[in-house]
Amino acid sequence: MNFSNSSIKATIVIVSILFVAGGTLVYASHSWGGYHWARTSNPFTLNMGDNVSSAWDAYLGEASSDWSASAVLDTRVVRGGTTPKNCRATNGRVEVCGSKYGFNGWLGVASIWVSGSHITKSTVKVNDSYFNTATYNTPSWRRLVMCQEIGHTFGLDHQDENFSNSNLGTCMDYTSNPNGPLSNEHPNAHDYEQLEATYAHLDSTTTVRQVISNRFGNNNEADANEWGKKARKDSRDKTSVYVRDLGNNDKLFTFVLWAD
Amino acid sequence: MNTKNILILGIIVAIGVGAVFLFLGKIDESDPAGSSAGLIVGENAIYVAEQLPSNTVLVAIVRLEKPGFAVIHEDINNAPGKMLGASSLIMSGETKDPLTIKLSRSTLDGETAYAMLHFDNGDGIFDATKDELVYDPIANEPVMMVIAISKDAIEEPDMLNL
Repeated sequence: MNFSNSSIKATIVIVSILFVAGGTLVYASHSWGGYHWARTSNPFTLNMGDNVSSAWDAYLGEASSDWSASAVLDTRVVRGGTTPKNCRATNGRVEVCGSKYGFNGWLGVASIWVSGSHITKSTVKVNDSYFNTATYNTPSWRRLVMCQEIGHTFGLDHQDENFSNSNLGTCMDYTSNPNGPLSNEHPNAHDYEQLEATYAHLDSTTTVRQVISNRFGNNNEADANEWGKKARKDSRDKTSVYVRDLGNNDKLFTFVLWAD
Repeated sequence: MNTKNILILGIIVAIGVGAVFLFLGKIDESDPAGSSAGLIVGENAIYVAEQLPSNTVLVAIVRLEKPGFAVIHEDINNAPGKMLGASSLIMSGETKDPLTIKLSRSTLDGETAYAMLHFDNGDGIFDATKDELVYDPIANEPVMMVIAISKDAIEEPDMLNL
């Protein structure tokens, strides 16, 4: 069988292009097992319970803002639903916690609970044992860890797990120098692309818990599922009193003053 | 279509299929239940979620640079005290499945416990006097996870990512 030089060259070029394309495809894929929040429309809003100290609030807000730049999801920082030490998950949302969990070798950890491929609840822990040390108590380390752990809660994995290579310019990249260059303190375009791929489809149900009021009462946020059954409506036909049976003849009444 | 074109087309298809497999392979790689990869400090790490009162502790992740053991201690004045139990020998690397450590007594609601790491001295049997503690490079203190024990603890998460 004889091949002309031009045919061989053309083949090499095509193969090279496909290798590069394949490599790019792999690079762009950092789904965490395909896990995702079930929802019926995009963009959806995911609440982030604030269970961190004031030292973290700015970084939580920044990470929330960064990830909300995605076309498919928004995040909102809301009052925390747990204690930092215990950091129990709440259905339909993310609880973000900070506490001294000990010098145990990790800076942050994200946990998800799943039903099939759907995330039902999630927690993030940032480890103040380390963030109280001079090594890690820096804006760049705090940004990296908060951004990365929150990114995991959407179903994102790492783009790269080598601490020693050059930064990719995303918080989903391991590094020993978050400042870079490139800076690994924020998501990059590949993260947003992966989110768009992960959330390209719609589900017939939702695992994202919807908040039905922005603020009420003592600045707390809650939802009707926790309040129990509707017991009374106001003049605008909105439910103003909920009652929840706690057992043993105990009942919890929740009075709601709705914002306009 | 001549032989050369068929051959070229075959190569293109093969490479394309290869790229797809690579892509899918990456997804599968990130999907082992209970596995983790870490934003870690040094080579050794341990993670334990909040636990229900029980005569066992479930250790979600251990990462060791050398074979060793995970050991559970009770609290004495906000520090690790008496040992309550130890794992069997853990190989170096990162554990793929949670470890169940049997304790000498049941833990109590509201109690704090500690999980610590030791390197094996080579005999494969845990002995606190011979198997040295694993130290954290930042704090220069023993690697230790503070464990909250509560009757209200929820079920273990399905997946962790450090």
